[in-house]
Formats: sequence, structure tokens, C-alpha cells
Amino acid sequence: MNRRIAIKNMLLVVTGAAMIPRHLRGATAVSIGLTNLQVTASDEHLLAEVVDTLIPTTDTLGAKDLKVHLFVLLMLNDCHDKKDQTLFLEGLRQIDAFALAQTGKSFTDCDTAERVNLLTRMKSKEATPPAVWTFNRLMRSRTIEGYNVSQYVMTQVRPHQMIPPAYDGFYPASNYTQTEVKTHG
Amino acid sequence: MANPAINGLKQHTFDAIVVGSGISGGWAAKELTEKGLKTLVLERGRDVRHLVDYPTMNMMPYEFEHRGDIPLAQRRANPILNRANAWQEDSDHFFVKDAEHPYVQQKPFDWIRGYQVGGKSLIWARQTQRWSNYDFEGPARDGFAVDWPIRYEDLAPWYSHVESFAGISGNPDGVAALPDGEFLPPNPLNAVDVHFQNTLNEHYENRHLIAARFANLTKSTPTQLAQGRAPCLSRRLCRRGCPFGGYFSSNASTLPWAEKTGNLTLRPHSVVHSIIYDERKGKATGVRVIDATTKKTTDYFAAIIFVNASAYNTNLILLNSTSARFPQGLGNDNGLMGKFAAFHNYNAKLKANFEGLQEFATFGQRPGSAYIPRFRNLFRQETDFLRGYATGFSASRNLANDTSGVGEELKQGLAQSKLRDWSIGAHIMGETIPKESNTVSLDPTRTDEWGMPLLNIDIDYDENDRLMEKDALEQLSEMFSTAGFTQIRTELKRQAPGLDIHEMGGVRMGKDPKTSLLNGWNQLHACQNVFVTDGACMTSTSTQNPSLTYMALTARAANHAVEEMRRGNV
Repeated sequence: MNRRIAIKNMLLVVTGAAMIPRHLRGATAVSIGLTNLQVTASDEHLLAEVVDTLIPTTDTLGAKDLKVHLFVLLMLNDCHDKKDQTLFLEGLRQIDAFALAQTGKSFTDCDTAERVNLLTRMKSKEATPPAVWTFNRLMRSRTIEGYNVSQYVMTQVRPHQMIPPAYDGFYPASNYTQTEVKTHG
Repeated sequence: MANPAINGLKQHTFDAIVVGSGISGGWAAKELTEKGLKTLVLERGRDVRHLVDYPTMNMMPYEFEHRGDIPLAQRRANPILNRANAWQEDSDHFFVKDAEHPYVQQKPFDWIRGYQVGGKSLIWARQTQRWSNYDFEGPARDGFAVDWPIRYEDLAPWYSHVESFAGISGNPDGVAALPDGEFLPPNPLNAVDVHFQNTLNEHYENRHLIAARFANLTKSTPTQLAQGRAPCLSRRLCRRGCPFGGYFSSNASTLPWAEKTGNLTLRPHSVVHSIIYDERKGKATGVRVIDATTKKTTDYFAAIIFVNASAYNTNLILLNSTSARFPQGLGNDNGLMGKFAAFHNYNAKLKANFEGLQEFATFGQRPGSAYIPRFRNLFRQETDFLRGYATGFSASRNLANDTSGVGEELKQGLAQSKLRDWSIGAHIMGETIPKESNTVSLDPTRTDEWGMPLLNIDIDYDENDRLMEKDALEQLSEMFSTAGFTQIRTELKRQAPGLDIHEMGGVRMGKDPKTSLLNGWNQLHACQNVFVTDGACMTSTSTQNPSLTYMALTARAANHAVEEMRRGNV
């Protein structure tokens, strides 16, 4: 078995469930009760693939494993205005057309390298339809937030210290490149 | 702390009543109960007990449904509160919502409130700088407001008294504008703080950078240990309430101390309607309270009354305390109550970068930052505007992630932080001039859920503020340039008054009953068993964060009240 998948499966079996916030465990976009964002099962499935491309599973869990796509939808639903919500959904639903134009395939049919190219291209305002560009901007910031501030990353990958190290205002800059910056609170 | 029984005059009678449990009310409670007075503290909001009622204090970032963000529906429902930085998902429960407690804005005024036991002492910014005689003598020297009836020497021992108990960190800097006090070790400065400090010392005569004095415990003396308070661990999550009691609040410090004396009765959910005045006795005899839940009215009685309801609510209560003797409000013979309100001007902000001192960075966190005391017009008038500004200064050089990639490249970018250049920020705290036209008053028609008149706020900036902002941006830009800072960006915020959360005045102290409401001991000139020691009493605003001065004024007034009571004078 591919090492990555093996690790992923092991992690998911051993700790995965505990790493997912209680309110998202076993959840779907429909089941978390979005009232402002009319999301279908296929929207949700596609968004899961997109966040999986943005932050993939490697030797650690990725955004889809952590159900970050559901966090993105929750934040869009609760913390964004109608304009953002509309463009986000429009952009999400234009992704397959965008992928088709670039690769001749739907997003989900693209391989990893093609998907990465598509998400890279979406960062360019000139090369992307406006809704797709806005979708990508919102998706990126909320996915990175949802991943960084997930229980898994904050406990297993870069342990978060509620009590930071003692302050040093003359900390040698060279120490930062030598130490494991991961553990910095 | 049980509510007093509702029946029987005796059970409604105390030696002292304190209206409000925030930073000054807490001090009144502590001093009065320690001197043996049976004291009733009235708080309009709910009870918040130290540790017990801090539901978010130990929550990890991922335990918040929105990772700290306030949902948009709540932001839209609270346009005023939404402008307050400290209102976040983890501190939501300590802020008044706009619709719950409406007020009338003649001009935009952001009135940020914390209606609970402890008030805003739970969520304050914790900077604690003493005033000097350049502040107390300011109105007389520069010809505005009225002369303060006290000088620094009157307050100095009380500053020491409250600093020793609360635990204030700082350095004996020997700066004329900012007298030294009883300090715990200072917050550390960093390489760029010190570089800027040296630049100012070399190039200017009277401009100093110091470690701001903060009410976070850099260590616990036996005085704080006796309160059960451990040193601050720099979590920078003070707004949630601190599991260690690492910063000063009424909840962590003065109120439990008062409770230990056995002399404290705390009554939450108590909206004060008015102070009761007895014409025959020629003094106040008690306080009329509306129960916030049942709306039932009850009178409580005491020999002395401290009004510490927060600056503008104190005005509201006194203006609402009308009688045949005081038709315009208690002690308001001259009609000046509610006038000469003022605040601090936070409009001028700067950001910059620094490419020097590459060999250093910052590591970890500190609860405080640096501070440049007022230097403008300090020893003599030198500009076309009156007074001056203090400046908050912060520099940091931290790690930043590279969030630009896609896929494995992004994942690596998030895992491998890189050092940025030094980034620098500064903002002013400008003294505003109290003016008769800046007022709070009772709305003639509209009332709240409890039948209390709405407060009508009519407060604005003036030309002096505009000139001062401009000067601050010019001077600070020049100081930044001299230090070699680059990419200097200046901003004039144009935020509404009030967002500074340093509202003051309306019941000012003064020597003359014709032109002021309170005497030099914070007693109403015309009703001397009523004391006002919160922000309402301020004759002028200085540039310093005002809470420490409220604490010192309160402790001083409370001890005077006890002495006067024992002499039979009140």
C-alpha cells in the first residue's frame, strides 16, 4: 500500500475522529444546518476535493481529512455577507467549467498536478472568471484558517502553547533558523 | 453572597452603599468594608465570580465555533459594539449589546459598556500611568475648564496605596510627565524599543520611551498572593478573565477582598433609579433600586453613598435624582451637571518597518508594550493647540508563514515559518479639552425597559483635536525617520468619540460650588454624603489612561468618608 495512504488510514482510525470538532463529527453541510447558504451534496463533495487539493494529505492529515470544507461552509454561512456567499457558490459551481476549459476534464477527473495548476491559476484575477477568483480567495483564507486552527494541527502537528515562552526582546535571529520553529507559541 | 431579605427596613439599611462594581466601585467596596462599614454594592448586571464565571478562560482556539470571529448577524445587530476591538467570540459575554441598552446619539458616540459584576475591569486594556502636576495644573495654567481642587501631592500616597495592592509593573524612569510609583519589575523592552529610546534621548530634549506601566503581575508579592493571584503568564487572553488572577480586576482582587471582611453585601441585577434625598436631614439617605429581572422597586438606606456607575451612567443617575430641593438633579444647583464631558483622542496612528537590527528578533509574548509620555506643551505652551498626547508604541519581529502556495508547497509553507522584518506600530492618546457644549443629558421623552430616561449624548471633537492629530503625525513621522524606520504609513482614523472607552466628566471636581459639582474629596458640594469617584468626576482628561487615577481618587475619598462619618460630619 502507498505509504501516504497507509499513514492516513492509520491516523484516521487511531485519532482521526477525535481530531474533528464535535459539531462536525459525522456531519455534512446539510446536517450542520446552514441557513444562508443553499449547498447541495455535490457542492459539498466538490468543495471537499478543492480543499483536499489546497492542503493535501501527506504524512500528516490534510484539509479534507479534517472536514475543513465543512468549516469553510460554516464560516461562509455565519460570518460573510450575501455578496460573498453568492459569489462563493457561483464560483464553486463554475469550477468544473473552468477546469473543462483548461484541461478538457471536470475538476474531480483531473489528476493532482492538474488540480494544483488550476488552483494556482485561480489566484490570477486576469486568468479567472470573477466568481471563481472570489471563490478561490475566500476558500483559501478560510481553509488555511480552518486547517491551522484545527485541533489536529494545534495538538499533533504544531502543538499550540496556551502559555507562551518567556518574552525575549533580544532573541538572536539566528536561533530561529536553527530551532524547530514549529513549537513557537 | 445572598441578596438581602426584601422585608424590613433594618435589612435594607447599611453603613454605606456603592453604586457599581467596576474598577472604582470595587475599590470603594474594599476600602469601606476594610474600615468596618457594612457595605451594599449594587450592580445592574449579573454576577461574575472570579474563575467560576469565566467560561472561555481555558478554551483552545479550535474550541470556538468561529475560531474567534463574531458572526455577521451579531455584528450587524451591534454596529456600535462591533467597533470595539476586544469584542470577540471569546469575550462576547462581557459586553453590552446595542439593543439591550439603547441611548441617543446627537452626534456619533460609541458607548462601549460592560454591565456585570466587575464591569469593564474584566476587559480593560490595563495600562496604569500616574498623573503629574503638569496634568493637575493644566486647566489653571492653560485657561480651560476649572482648576483642579487637588494636586499630585494629594493623590501620590493613594497612587502608592492602590499600586501596591493591585500590582503594577513598571520602571522608575524618572520622567517628569509620568511620576514613578510602587512598581513590580517592568515589562521587558525589545531591541527596537531600546533603539528608539536611544534615538529619542540623542535627538530630543524631552522625549522618552519607557515600558508602559501595566496592571499585569510580573511577579506576585505577598500582597497579591494573599488575594490568590499568581503572576501573569503573557497569554494575552485577559479579556476572557484570567485563571491566575494575573491582571487586576474587581472580580479577582477588590471584591473578594471586601467579601472576606464579612461586611460586603453584593446585589447584582440592581438598576439604580436615583439617590434618595431627605430635605429635613439635608442629605442623601439611600438609593432607589429597580430589580432588573422583576422590575420591582426597593429602597436601600445608608449614611454614605458612593456613585461609581461608570462615568456617563453616574451622570444619568444623579440627573435622575430629582427632589424639591434639587429639581435639576442631585447636587446640580449650578446646572453644570452633564456638561464639560470629555474623552481621549485615539485618531492618529502610524505603522512602519525597520530593516535594521537584523541580528535580533522577538520571542514569546509580553502583556504590555512601550509608551512615550506626553512631550508637547509640557513645560510651556509651544504650539497653536492646547495640551498634548501620549503615544503607545510597539515593535515586533516574529515568524510568519508563507500562505501563497497550493498543495504540498502550501503545506510546507504553513509548517516552515520565516522571519519578517521588524514591524512597528504607534497610536496617540490625546488630551481633549472639556467644553460646556459636550454634554450628556436625560432624554426628555424616551425611556428604557426599566423606565429610566435614555441618556442623550452630544459630544464631538473640536479644532484643537484636529490640530493635535496633525502635529502628532508630523512629530512621530519625524521621530520614526530619525530612527531609520522605513515605509512610514500615517492614518487619521476619524473614529467616533467613545471608542477610546475613556469617557470622563459631567460631575467635575473643583474648588468653587458655582463652577463645579464635587469638592476636593469627591463629595457633592451640595450633598456631602454622596461621593463620585469614577470617570464622571474628572475636571480634565490628561493623556494618561485614567483607571489608575479613578482607583486612587476612590481609595482617598473612601478613607475620608470613613473619617468624616466617625467625626459625625456626614
